[in-house]
Amino acid sequence: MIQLNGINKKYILPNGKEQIIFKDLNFYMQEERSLAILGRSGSGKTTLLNIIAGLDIKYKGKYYFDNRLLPKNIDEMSSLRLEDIGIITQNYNLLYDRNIFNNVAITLHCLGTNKKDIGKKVKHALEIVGLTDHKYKYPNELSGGESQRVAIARAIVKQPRLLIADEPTGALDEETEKDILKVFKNLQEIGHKLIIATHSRSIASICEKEYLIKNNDLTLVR
Amino acid sequence: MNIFREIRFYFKKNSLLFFLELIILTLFLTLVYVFALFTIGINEKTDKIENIYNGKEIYRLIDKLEDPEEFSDFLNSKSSVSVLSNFYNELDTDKNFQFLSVFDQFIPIENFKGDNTFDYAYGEDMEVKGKYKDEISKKIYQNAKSMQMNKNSFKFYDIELARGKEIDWEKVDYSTGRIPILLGNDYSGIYDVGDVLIGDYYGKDFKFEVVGFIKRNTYIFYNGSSEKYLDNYIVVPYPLRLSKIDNEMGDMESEFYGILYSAMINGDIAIEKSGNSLQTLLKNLDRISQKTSFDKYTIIGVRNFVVQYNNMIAAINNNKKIILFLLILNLIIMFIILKGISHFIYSKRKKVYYLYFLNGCNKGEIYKIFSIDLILPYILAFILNIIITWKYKFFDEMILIILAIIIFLVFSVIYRIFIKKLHKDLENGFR
Repeated sequence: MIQLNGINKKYILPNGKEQIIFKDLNFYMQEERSLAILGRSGSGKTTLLNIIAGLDIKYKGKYYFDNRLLPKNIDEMSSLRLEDIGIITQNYNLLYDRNIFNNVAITLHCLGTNKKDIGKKVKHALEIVGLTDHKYKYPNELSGGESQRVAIARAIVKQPRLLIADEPTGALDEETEKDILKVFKNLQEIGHKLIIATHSRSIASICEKEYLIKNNDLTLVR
Repeated sequence: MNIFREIRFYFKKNSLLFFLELIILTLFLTLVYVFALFTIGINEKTDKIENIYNGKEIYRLIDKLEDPEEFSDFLNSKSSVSVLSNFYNELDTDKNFQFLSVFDQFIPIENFKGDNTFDYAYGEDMEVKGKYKDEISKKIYQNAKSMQMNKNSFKFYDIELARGKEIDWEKVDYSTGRIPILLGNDYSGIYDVGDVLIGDYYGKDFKFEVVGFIKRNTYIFYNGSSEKYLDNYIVVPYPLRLSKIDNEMGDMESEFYGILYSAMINGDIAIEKSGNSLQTLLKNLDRISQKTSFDKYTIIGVRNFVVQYNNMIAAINNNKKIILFLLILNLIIMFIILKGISHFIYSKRKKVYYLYFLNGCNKGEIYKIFSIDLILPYILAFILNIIITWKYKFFDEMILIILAIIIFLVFSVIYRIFIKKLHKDLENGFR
């Protein structure tokens, strides 16, 4: 499904020096239902997810999705996200000017889904994350765990083939993390493919494979 | 994507900033509008004064029939009134100068529809104000402001119409009891072309048929006033040529023409400026006087107010530079404030653009949301400006086009700054 070949990525630091993030990194995801990407802060977990999601196109190397070489073009990558990838961001990124229903529906607006189908799909996504009763609430009325569930519902509402989650429990306490863990297990069971960048061992443990980013490269741990 | 839904969300969280931006833009546009009007007005006035007075000397001819008894005797003599008609006709047709006959005799109009601003006594310390009942005819009248003018004056002051048709001077015939008239622009909506007003003109009933409306802000130089605006005046044309008084004519009729003719011979005379223009004028008047046997007139110079007016325009032109400087300063300050507000709104809306991008919207759709976010206050400010200028009756298409260009330029600069920012954010995945 996903193949990254010879990825080189570097950042120019404010002092003008180069910081190499990846050096000839290769990454494959074929039949696995879920992968965890582990690594220290600043090791490049988010950068790798951004490349996979098409949010970062400033790298050297080749990216194949379903054996198709993807061009490094913003609109082409948007199209990939629109059709195949759902993203769960680190800080929920909810919009405070609209209720939960409209926060989740934003994904479907991009797809141009009709009003009737938006209602059905948002309801279904909220059911999966257990927030059916919260659809008319506003983000400021939710707890951290509930906000993360909204972010998950927003990512799954269009039923993408691949879900990418960046530190989904990074800001949550242990109890809430357990709840989110259940949600991710459930997502795998209903057929979603997952790539999760995480610090958390418990989150990583639910994934089929674990990779570690170390010394600008990716190593299979389990 | 439903853009209107996004606009709704935009207003929900940014209404205060939006209205602040709208107020600043509207105030600025109004300021530019007023400045443009002011500049155009001054330029027009300067041009008009130059056109009228450049190379000309102005004198005023007045009759010497000051003594009421003498005047009454004069009016009672049909031959004397005929002398007046000859004198006027000679003045009016003389090739050596232009005779500008203008007089502001009010006209009592029956069932007058206008408000008090059209009243001759409006703003004046006069006893008769508003509607009143004439004790003899028992009719309800109101004394409407009126300006009577000859054809030379129309041409000289370049009086143009807003609508309707020009006066057909050949057909101005007081003996029919029906006179075509023009109305000042303030009469729009009160009377219309084709309406007939019934009034008393020097003691005689007339039907005044409205044939047109004069352009707004039309003014003439009259009786020492450098800007006598005709907006709330009824403009009555004088007959092109004056007829002699027939001996068969009744006394009342004769008296009417006597009063009319004596009013008509009082007027300004414009003559080409030369070293001996006064001598030339006096010589020509003397010739006319001898030919018509009328010598009860005198000539006075009236250039003083023109000189004063020119001095005033020079002062205004100086002030124009100061105002232009303030306007530019205002533009810079407004630009800085707008940029600040746009920056603030962009920061708040960035998350929306990001989420659309994150979920797969293409660049074009995100630019569309961004553009609408940015352009809305500019469009609304422009519309508000049209409404304000329309409501307060200083609407001018040309100035609006200039404003549209200015607002487009300001918007373009702001847009360019922030579209670059958005483009950069998209390229970097909003990191």
